[in-house]
Amino acid sequence: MKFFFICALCYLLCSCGEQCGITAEPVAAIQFPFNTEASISKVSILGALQDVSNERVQFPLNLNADSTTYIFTQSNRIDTLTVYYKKRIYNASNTCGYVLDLEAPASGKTHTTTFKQIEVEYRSYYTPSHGAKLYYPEEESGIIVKINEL
Amino acid sequence: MKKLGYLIFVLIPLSIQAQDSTLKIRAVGVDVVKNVTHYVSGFDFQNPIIAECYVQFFTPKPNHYFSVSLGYASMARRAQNHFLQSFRGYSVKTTWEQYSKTSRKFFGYSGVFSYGTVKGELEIQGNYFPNYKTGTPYNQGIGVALEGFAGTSALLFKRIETRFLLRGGTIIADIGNPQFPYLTGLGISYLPEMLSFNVGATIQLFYLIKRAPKHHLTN
Repeated sequence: MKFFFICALCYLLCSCGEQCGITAEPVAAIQFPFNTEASISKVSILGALQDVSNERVQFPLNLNADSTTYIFTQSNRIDTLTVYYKKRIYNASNTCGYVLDLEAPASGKTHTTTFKQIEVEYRSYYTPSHGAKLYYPEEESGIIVKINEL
Repeated sequence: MKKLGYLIFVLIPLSIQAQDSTLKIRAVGVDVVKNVTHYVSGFDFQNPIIAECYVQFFTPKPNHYFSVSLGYASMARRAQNHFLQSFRGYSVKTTWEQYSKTSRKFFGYSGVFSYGTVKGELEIQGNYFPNYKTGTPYNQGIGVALEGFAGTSALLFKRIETRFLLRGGTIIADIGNPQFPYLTGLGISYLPEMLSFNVGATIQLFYLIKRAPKHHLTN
């Protein structure tokens, strides 16, 4: 019996930190060029039930579609950004089982935008239990959009 | 896995049957509360339906019995708050047990063969968008377990044997994804791994085909 309890304890210790993919509405981290967030007065999302705060840096993604379109309003201009993704369900581990994740679409088209230059990076929403979290802090897992030039 | 199942479920009964080709039924029974621990555990199974019935046979050795049981279980659970799993399983269990010559205490061991299917559904609650639901691939699997038990019984009306059991078992199973923490015929599986274990208590009601003698328990 002691053996089983030791096994159970070891298992619990080893499985610390595992994040089982998307378990709540996923977000994309959108990074603006230095000191430009303040100029955005409003952020809208097509099809969303409510607007999001313009002070946020993480914006919700629509799981019911394969893209989400954001509309950024500034005093003198309006920009749009559409991020594309593909949903994927796979077997991640014994603890998590099947997990839902987002990845780059097979077509290779990651975005359409009116911004001059952006990059979209796809990181897994699933974090394994052994160490990966140390390299990618929690807030930077998932889809990351870097707007390099407005 | 298949060889292990063969060893437990074919060879053990055959070895017992070989001793006496005319097995006589001692009792038929049901499990009244399959796993008392089931209801006090933190697993929060939804709509559990668990049934297990037994046929117990005399063996050539006095106070030694052999039984076969069939089990069925159906239940659901919410894993990680967003993953709904519906489980359905079937089991065959063979049991050897020995009663004390002087009291109604008994002990024994069982081999369990279990088959289960699991359907999964992911549901992500949305704050900004409508909720998202999708099914996960259908999963089925088998499990085997070796269980030891000890207990005591009380006779009602000379025919109804009420059996209180404490039991523990080792499980080798791979059913569900994530693995469903239940093995039909045995009970809750405490580790989400292929090798797991189970402990529990249960109550069985057996109806004796032949009335029990007043002062001794031999055949």
